[in-house]
Amino acid sequence: MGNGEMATEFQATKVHNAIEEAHEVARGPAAEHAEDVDRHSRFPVEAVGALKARRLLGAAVPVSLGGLGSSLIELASIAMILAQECSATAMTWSMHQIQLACLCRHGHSRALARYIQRVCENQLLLASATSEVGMGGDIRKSKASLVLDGDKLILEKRSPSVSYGAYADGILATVRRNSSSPPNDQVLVLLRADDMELKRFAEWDALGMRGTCTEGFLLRARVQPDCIFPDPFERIASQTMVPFSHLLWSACWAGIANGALSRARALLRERARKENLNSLPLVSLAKAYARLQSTVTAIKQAAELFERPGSRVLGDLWSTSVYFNSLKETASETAVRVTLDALSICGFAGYLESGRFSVSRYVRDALSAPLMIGNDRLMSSNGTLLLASKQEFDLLSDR
Amino acid sequence: MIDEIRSLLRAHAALPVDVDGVEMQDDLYRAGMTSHAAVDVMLALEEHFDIEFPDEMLTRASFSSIANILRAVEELVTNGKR
Repeated sequence: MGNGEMATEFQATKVHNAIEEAHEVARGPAAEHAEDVDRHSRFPVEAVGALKARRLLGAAVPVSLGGLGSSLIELASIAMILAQECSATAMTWSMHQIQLACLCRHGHSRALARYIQRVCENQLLLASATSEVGMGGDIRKSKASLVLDGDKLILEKRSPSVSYGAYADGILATVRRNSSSPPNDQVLVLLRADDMELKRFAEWDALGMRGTCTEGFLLRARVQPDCIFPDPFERIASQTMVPFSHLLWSACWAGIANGALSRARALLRERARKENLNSLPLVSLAKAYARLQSTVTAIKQAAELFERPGSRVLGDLWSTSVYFNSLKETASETAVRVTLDALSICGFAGYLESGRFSVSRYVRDALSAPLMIGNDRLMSSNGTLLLASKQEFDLLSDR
Repeated sequence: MIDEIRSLLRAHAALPVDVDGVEMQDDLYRAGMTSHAAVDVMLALEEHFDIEFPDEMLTRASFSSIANILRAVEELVTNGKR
């Protein structure tokens, strides 16, 4: 066997391992504690601990920097696998990978590159603080700016929704470049634990995604100049943050839907043993699976196209923005629809908060999808961009 | 042509600053032009110069400076004339 073949086999083993490890975390601590995580709105420490123990936090980082070198499809697979058992575990892991992707693709400074290695070595957890009080959910505008205080750069920002902020080792935050910059002239900065102080002003008690601990924090930090990403945030957002976010969130939602349908299927299987099932629930199940299959295929295609060299789906294009907004919208609506179908199939047993066939938590978690980010906002943006382009949809040929 | 472009930016880019103070290479987004305003600018350019931006040119970079807009418009006007 030549070197090339060995390298491929090693890589294949690594891939197989990451997915296998994800399955084990999902079936193990994620599943075991999902109900408790949801009931008490608490962070899934056990599952995240298992992800760290299995080095899965470094998935998006190239092998050369100490990560697993996972492809976008592998990342989406892992997200979906975890989400079937625990949405909080899946979302936390996914959001962390999104921050990592920003670091890997835009972290052009010694300090940022070194931090990537530290993340992998120590399995550090990264959160995102893009939201800001008073901005109405628009993350492309900031009020807070970097302020020079003597020789120190200071950031002070009120972020109403920092998922698992209290459990993160580092935070990537958006901020106006300086106090005279317009609202959309934003930079992304890395805040490390030692540099920052978080003061909680809003607790998390929500319909679903309860274990994500998406609390509001006043962030106060000293920003090291070499921890400011050189690329403008607008570029980081369109080239990396938005595509990765929409893709991995969609994979989580597909996983939630899959988990719910899996229970519906198990319930019908058990009933079929005892009685003659009338075809109605079977038809509902089949239709729901068809819908889910469409969405999962769309996720897979998006991941492939985005990573393929020479592909037309590139972060800088307005059409790519339309593409990923559409994917997100479809996946979010499908997740809601499919989990509700599962509830309908499972009936009484599905409506209960616990038990083998309970799908209540899945429904509640799925309902976050159309809101995160608001589909109306995305579709409005798409509408404007679609006016701009005259080209008709031609994705099958990917010319 | 540069004056026409400045004039269209004045009307559609919704910049918080005076367009005359914006240099050729200055980043328009950093000056305050939002993505939505960029779309308005693009539609106005198409209308005014009777050109059509193909998908590959509908990028952030195409509208990020007066110099880039000029280059794009010149290319499309020339191609249109052929």
